[in-house]
Amino acid sequence: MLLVEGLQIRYMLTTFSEKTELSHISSREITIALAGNPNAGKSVVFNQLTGGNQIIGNWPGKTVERTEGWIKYRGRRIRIVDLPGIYSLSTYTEEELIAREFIISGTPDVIINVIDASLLERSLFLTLQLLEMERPLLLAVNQLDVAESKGLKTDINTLSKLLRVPAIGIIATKGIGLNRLLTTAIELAEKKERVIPPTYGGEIEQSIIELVKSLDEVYPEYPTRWLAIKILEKDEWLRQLNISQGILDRAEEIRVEIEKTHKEPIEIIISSERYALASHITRNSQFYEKKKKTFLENLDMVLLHPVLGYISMLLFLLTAFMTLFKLGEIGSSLLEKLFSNLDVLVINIPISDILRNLLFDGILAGFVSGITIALPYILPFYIFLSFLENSGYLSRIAFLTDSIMHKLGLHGKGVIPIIMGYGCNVPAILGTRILESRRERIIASFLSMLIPCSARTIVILGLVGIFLGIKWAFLIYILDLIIIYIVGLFMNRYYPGETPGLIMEVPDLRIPVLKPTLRQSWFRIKEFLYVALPYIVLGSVLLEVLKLLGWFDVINKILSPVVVDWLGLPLITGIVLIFGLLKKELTLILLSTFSGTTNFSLILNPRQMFVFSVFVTLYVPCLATIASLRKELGRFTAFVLVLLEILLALLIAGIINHLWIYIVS
Amino acid sequence: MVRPLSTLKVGEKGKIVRLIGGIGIIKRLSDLGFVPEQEVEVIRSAPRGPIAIKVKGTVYALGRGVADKIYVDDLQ
Repeated sequence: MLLVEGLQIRYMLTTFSEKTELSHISSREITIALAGNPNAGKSVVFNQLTGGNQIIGNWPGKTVERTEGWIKYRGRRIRIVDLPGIYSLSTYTEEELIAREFIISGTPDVIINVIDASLLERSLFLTLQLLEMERPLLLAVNQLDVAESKGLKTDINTLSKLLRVPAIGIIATKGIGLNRLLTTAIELAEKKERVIPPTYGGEIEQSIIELVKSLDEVYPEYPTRWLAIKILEKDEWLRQLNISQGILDRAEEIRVEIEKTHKEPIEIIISSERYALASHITRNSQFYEKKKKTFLENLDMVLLHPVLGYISMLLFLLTAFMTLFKLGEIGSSLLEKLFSNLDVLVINIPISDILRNLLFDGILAGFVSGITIALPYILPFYIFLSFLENSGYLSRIAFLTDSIMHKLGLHGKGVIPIIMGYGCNVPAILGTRILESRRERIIASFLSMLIPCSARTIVILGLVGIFLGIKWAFLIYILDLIIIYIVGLFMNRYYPGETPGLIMEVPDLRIPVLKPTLRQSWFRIKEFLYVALPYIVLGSVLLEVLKLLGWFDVINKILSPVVVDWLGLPLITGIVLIFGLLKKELTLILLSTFSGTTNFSLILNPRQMFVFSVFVTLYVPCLATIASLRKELGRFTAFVLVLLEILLALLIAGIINHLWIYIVS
Repeated sequence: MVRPLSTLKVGEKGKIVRLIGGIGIIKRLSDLGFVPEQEVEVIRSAPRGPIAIKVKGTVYALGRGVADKIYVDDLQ
């Protein structure tokens, strides 16, 4: 499966580079851009249209994910670009900037605007802004079934007439209407007709008309009405255009005048105008019949309840995590059995022992241990996470945890990377991108690095859980949460800056569709393998090299003041902890290799087991995590955070070591 | 009576009269439908925590500080 996917990706990449060469010769290729609100079902439409043929990457120079796919339709190649989910095009966020840039400069042949029929008015707010840009546009009215269940009947013909663009009703999750959507999009792309932009009311419309007159013919590459609106809005993007001072001055006069009569900033007045039109169109094309509350709506009242909400959240997460770890245990022992037959392949190769050690204990073992953590532990976790996201429950968790997260300098959305951290710290750190400020990303990264990931869970359960009892393992998790809370309080207090307030959509609860959920998880696990696996293999080889050079004893001796005197651990754990840097579950494997037993009670007493597990949980995250930290926050910040973490781990584990006698008695 | 949205109780409705604060947050809120004359309803309110507000059929979670920036009046 992995191989097939890999080949497909390679195939896609070659067609990608071919395209750039051919584009000036062949006009047969069509670019479709998908635009729409978050949660409108854009990704489902994208996945249904492109199947598995997609490339996921980042927009150049940005941390926003870019998804692009290709299909062949009647012998012609169609390129589909999935723009980031946005509410507006006012360039408040990076996503909005990207979407706008692509529509203006990337010149898609046609835009498919996916809207949620159950949230028509809000969706049309973006539609109107897209129409202002005068590119060929096709409206995909999605989630008609959801709208119907809420008692909303949509008249798509009237909607299309009022907006003066074609509209097609679809139910993307069931694949209904998508063929017609594609053929209509291609027809529109061929006609290349510009759409008629919407007209607004009152002084805003008059001002637009006045500015359009003075702008006419000056910037032929941009739609004039759109430019006029942007000038009124004082959009920062305009700076690159060098608009004449005369026009800017006149716009300023108009703006001051309007703001005086309305006693509101111009931004609000323009938004109000757009919403007035969106609301007018909605009233004329959608009809509401009161319906009984659905089961999910009633459930939602429980999930957001100030008391029941927290109880159900805790129960749900606890059950989910325990099930996931149980599944992981079963899966990884199955995989280990499967892989243990592989050594036959290497043992019979006629090469020197040194090479064989590097090949087998280095590369192969590293690869195997990467896979045995990725597939049984992280993949189910990703599926669970996609389920949380797509069902809408994740935003409810963010709502419930907002006030506690605020104390840590984050808002509710900050809980998302922290939950991800329990699966693996790598996606947790990549996931901090959803937070607005650098301060939040740094705090969230640091806190999620302290979360025991799958690999550390193996150590905690395999050592403390087995030899001291599950209660003690549980204690480590509780202790870890307390430490995170205290560290968060400190960071919030001493790291300059403010926590931005939470503004987040809480989408309707829905039952996630299986296919897109699985596909999303699959792409994520692939990203994990690309980022982390090379480091795991590299680390494994490095370990073999050091072993061959016989440096282990030297390292142990150097570390003994810290490891033996401060942490009270046996001498051999020094090298074990160093290699835990590569991957944390390795510490347990190495411990048994060096001591020649899997009965750890022979080499560690209860205190040492506990201290060891706490230290492994808290100290430097693995190499792959450091790599993603560096990628997201830069080398210096990554270095500081890692250093702080080592000090924190030493402090806590050392204190536990020295106070152990008091704790136990 | 004009008062901050954050003071409304669960189930209460109001009509937005104005938004205060920096232009960034005002713009973002108005993009989401928090515009003057708009009717809003409080769905959930956690003590000292965020509140869930229904606007134009969508529920948004707003931090208390954000909800303090939106002023509402009683519905006629």
